[in-house]
Amino acid sequence: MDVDSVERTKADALRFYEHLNRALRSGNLAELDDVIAPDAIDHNPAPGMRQGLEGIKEAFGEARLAFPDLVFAVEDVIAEGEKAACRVSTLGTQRGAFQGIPATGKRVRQTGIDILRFRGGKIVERWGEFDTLGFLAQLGRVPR
Amino acid sequence: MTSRSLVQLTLVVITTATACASAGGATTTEGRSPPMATHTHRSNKEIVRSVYEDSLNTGNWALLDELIAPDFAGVRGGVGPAGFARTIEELRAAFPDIHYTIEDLVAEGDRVAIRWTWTGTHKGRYRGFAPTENSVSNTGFAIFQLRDGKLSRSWLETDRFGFVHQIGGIPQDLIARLQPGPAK
Repeated sequence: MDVDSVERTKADALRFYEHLNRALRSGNLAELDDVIAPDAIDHNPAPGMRQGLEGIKEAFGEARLAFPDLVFAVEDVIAEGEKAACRVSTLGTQRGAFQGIPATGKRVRQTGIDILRFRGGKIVERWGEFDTLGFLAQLGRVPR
Repeated sequence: MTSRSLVQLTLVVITTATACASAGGATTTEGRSPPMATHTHRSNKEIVRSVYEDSLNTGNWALLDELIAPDFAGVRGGVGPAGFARTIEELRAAFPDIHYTIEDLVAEGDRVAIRWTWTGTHKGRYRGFAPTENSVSNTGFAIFQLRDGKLSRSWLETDRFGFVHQIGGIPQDLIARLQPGPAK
């Protein structure tokens, strides 16, 4: 077992979410340039999202417009080799339209699991699932 | 949105656990035990692999006694191997040819993350949804915590939205809006 690679990958994962939270807070999406490779592949992209760093920045930019206080919390990280499996949750208040849903003013919590693959400290691949149905239920778009 | 789809969605949102029994809440960080000294990372991975390949894919529920801890807590109140099996039995009754494929395993300490897909034919009623004969596929991620060589706790995220869509339960306007691809 390569203990060094485990610790390095875990640190890469935590650094990614720190940069993401800084980008969401400040609106400076260039924060993501240091932690996502230009040609990163998201195997489970959000609806309408383009691939690569620029597509990911666009998607988070849009999310930020709808949820200006959006923040990620990392609950657990399981690292092995180049991969980190991350259990995360998001919290945000919907102040703008999102995926065609008008602003609700509702504070929404969403859980998710990301598996991130890192090269040189940057994400090169991502797989993940967030609770879309629960998210829509909280926004009142589908019944609980 | 029709009232019928509202009712069906209500059922699903409340109760759908499309993969397997999972710990309720699933988001707290307490209760993590130190890494097991007696089980290597490889063996934890093999235990999780065995749950899917030797039990869930074959219907051999008896094997779960060896793989699931007695105090394992499932999403719908089921506890231990029997509670775990009950959720899967319900899924298997509706999708008799259900087959899980393990796409990835990531292990560290006492935890194993798994990414899977399953495919199956919707032949039986599932949570109020009449059989559609549709070929359904579902992706999911789980993190399992192991203790003494058995799964003791889990966190689960599955594509519930995509699943419900495939068995006819999501209103058309939401499907159009939330499909992956160019923004509508």
